[in-house]
Amino acid sequence: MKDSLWFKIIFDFHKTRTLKRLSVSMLIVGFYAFVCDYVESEIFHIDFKPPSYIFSMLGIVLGLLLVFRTNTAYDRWWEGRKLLSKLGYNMKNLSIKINSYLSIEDQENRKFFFTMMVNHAFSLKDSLRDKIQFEELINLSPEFIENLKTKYHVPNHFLILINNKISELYKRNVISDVQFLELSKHIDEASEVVSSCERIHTSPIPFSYSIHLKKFLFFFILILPFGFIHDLGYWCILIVMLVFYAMAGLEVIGEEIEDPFGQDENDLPFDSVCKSIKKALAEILSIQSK
Amino acid sequence: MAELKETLLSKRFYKKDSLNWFVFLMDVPKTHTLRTMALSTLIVTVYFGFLHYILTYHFDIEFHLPGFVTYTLGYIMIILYYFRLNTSYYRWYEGRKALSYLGASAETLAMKLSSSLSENIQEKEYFKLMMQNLLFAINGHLRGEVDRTLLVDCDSFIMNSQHVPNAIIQVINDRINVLYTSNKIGKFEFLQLGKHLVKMNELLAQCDAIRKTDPPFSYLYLIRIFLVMYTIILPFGFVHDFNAWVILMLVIYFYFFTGCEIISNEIQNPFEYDQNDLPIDSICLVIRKSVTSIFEEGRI
Repeated sequence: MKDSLWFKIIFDFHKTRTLKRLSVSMLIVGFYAFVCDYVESEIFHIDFKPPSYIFSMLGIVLGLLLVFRTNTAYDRWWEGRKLLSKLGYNMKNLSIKINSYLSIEDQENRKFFFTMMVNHAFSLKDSLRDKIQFEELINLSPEFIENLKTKYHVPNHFLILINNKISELYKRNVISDVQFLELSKHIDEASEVVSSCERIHTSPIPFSYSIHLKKFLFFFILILPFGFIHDLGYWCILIVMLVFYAMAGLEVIGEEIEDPFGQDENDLPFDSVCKSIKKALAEILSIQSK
Repeated sequence: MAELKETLLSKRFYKKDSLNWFVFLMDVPKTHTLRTMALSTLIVTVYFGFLHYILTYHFDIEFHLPGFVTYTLGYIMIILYYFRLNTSYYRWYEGRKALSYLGASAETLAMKLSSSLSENIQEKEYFKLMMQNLLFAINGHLRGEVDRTLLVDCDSFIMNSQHVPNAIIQVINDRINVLYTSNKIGKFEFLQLGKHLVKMNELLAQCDAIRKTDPPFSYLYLIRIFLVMYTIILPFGFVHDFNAWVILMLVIYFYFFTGCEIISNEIQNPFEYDQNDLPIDSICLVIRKSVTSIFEEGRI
């Protein structure tokens, strides 16, 4: 990035949803700080001034919890990205091998592998988004799609069909035994990609942990105004809101990127990965479009 | 996968579109941290209160820890706790990873078996049954006790075995070997199938390693003793401005510090029935259904 002004980025707030998601809560926190301040300075005058280093102590624990949260969430996000590229290169390798094993005239089988592999990628994407979009799948007859709707696991179904085809080609001696071995290897990898993506999608960070962090943040914000009231007066409202935004923001981002297969702005570009797989496979297998 | 998602997502509190960050407060009663910690937190509160009473009304001791002592010790504790949390979490996640690879291996094995045995309905039926048995056995094994009544059509070798999943893997391996020697599958198919059985055994051993080995006890002991000592001296850092508010803040400090440890303890062995443990039953159910559906796919 080439920015003439380093902090120009603050004007890009519309690009992330963190501020929007936290705005209501920030107002609540600001109001709470105001109430504390008002009650303290106008009504009660309880002279409560906690030693400042108690906030530092609490701050370290909070920092620990937050960094752990951010780390694990980012870990998943990045693992998801690696799995997407594995999905891509695995499909490409498989089609490169198929291309060299099958004769160029064998358009039928080429087209079969192309269709199934591309549909595998698309349906994997949809199944991780909890909804299969059948109209997105390519080159399938209406009967096939009707049949597909009854299947337990659609991405796996395409994998089964690819695997069956490979085995059939082997039995008909279209490909030799070592070639069969080579192709089968990629089925294993594809299956591993499917189950790893599903693992990321279905295992959020342990529930107690995320609640513990939120609870702590809640208490921290609850006592925070008292640290500033005497020194800052009503300015403490601003400080409290700022601290809340920074801390809760990290937490909210963690939640958002933990499941990276959705369609939020921070999620992985699964759609474009699928499209590039489609283009690459059509080229590798020299599919003649009608 | 739908069932798995149901089980898991019911536990996940995160509502993507919620604009109010504070809704999580409704989920607080669902966790056990507070209940587990209640007694210790109470004792610590009583201790702080007692100390406050003694120091204010009876002795005027001049023992005041400078702030940086509690502060520095706090830093050291944090590093220990971070290590603890990390190792526990990675045990938990490694268990989850092993289960997902186990699923991948089982599914691939089923795919390859059913494509190799395309016309041999009888053998296919046999393997379908055995794979289902294997997944029941793995589920039970990871929970500590295999319910042998769930196993269908198993001979006495499996029924009396000490380690049921191993016995079933052995039986499947034998059967594949018979298929190979009687030339019903080719040598390269045989090679493929064997690989997945080996892989499954490996993953099972990986789960067993997590399940049967706790982190070194001395280490856990040291961390706890350190925290107890730290809590005992903590109030002396606040002798000059000791009041009810400071007690409250110290209790909060203690609670959240120790909570990390409680959570680490809970997730370090992910194969039990605690709230945060892996939903092994639903994971195995999903794999079993998936394997069954693979065997039931007709040939195209």
